[in-house]
Amino acid sequence: MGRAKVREDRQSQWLKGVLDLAVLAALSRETSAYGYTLMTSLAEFGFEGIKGGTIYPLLSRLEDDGLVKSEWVTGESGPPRKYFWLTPSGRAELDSGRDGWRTFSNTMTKALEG
Amino acid sequence: MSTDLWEYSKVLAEQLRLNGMKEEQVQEVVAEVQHHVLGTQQDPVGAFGQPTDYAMTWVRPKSGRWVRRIAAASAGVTGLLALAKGLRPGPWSGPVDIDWSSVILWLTWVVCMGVLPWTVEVWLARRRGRRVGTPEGVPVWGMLVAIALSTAAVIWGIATMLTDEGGVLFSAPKWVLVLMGFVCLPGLAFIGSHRNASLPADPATPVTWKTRVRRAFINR
Repeated sequence: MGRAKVREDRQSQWLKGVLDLAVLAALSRETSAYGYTLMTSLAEFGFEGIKGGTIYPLLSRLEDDGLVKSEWVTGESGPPRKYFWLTPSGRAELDSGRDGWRTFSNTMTKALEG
Repeated sequence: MSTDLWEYSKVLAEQLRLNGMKEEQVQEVVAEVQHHVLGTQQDPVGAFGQPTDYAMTWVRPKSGRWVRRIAAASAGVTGLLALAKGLRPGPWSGPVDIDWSSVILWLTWVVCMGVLPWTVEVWLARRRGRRVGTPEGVPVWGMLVAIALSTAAVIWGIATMLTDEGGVLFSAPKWVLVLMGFVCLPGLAFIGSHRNASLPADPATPVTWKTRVRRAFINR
């Protein structure tokens, strides 16, 4: 029971560390994305169960950092939607994150598998 | 259990405002929740958590804001009581005695009008923001005890003042009290309920030509 909780916490910590990169990657795949289309995109790549309460504050932080831009659009029916897209800084951050992840992943794989 | 989206939106807006978020950002956060829930049909509490907790992920409340507000309300009460003392008949330069009973009365009024309403209001708002979509029925005994105690304190303060048993602490000229009264009186504006749980307006902005170009050629 205790170890199961530790494993779950570990997964959660990993996710916390890379979710911003996963979101940037999802935004680079989607041409015009709003909150839950991003979540669908993330789910297709195995990031299931991420809640709106996690994604929207994260997108806001990415926007504050200048990695993402957004715009509210009023549709013909229903509430307005907020569309997000990557900025050039966001693309650069994603590229840098990919490189960093490859290095980290290789190092960790070596450490675990000898 | 399915939570009413509009009820959730109102409570969330109230929590964000309580934490000191600007109205434009409140509009955005609430509209995102509404759009998400209407699009996915998820339960708002399931998707975002209780409004108090979700509001905390955006902005944490600043205690300084509450302290300033309580201080301003307390100053208003002080001004009111100073005017009540200073505007009694008599020469302007004549001394007014401030005794223990006056201090106790001032203290009870500060607590009852300056401190309690705001703190109880915040407490009740936080309570609402942690119970959206859950059944009512939890007793508000803490609030009732606080109100009972404060009422008793007011009555005791008035009774003490009327019996006039306390010794004189210091004397001040009438004009000083009146001046102090007028200076502090605006603090009364901070007394009472400042609850704002209304639904914020839509955040949509007009579409610019840059956006049209981007949508047409870049982010279609």
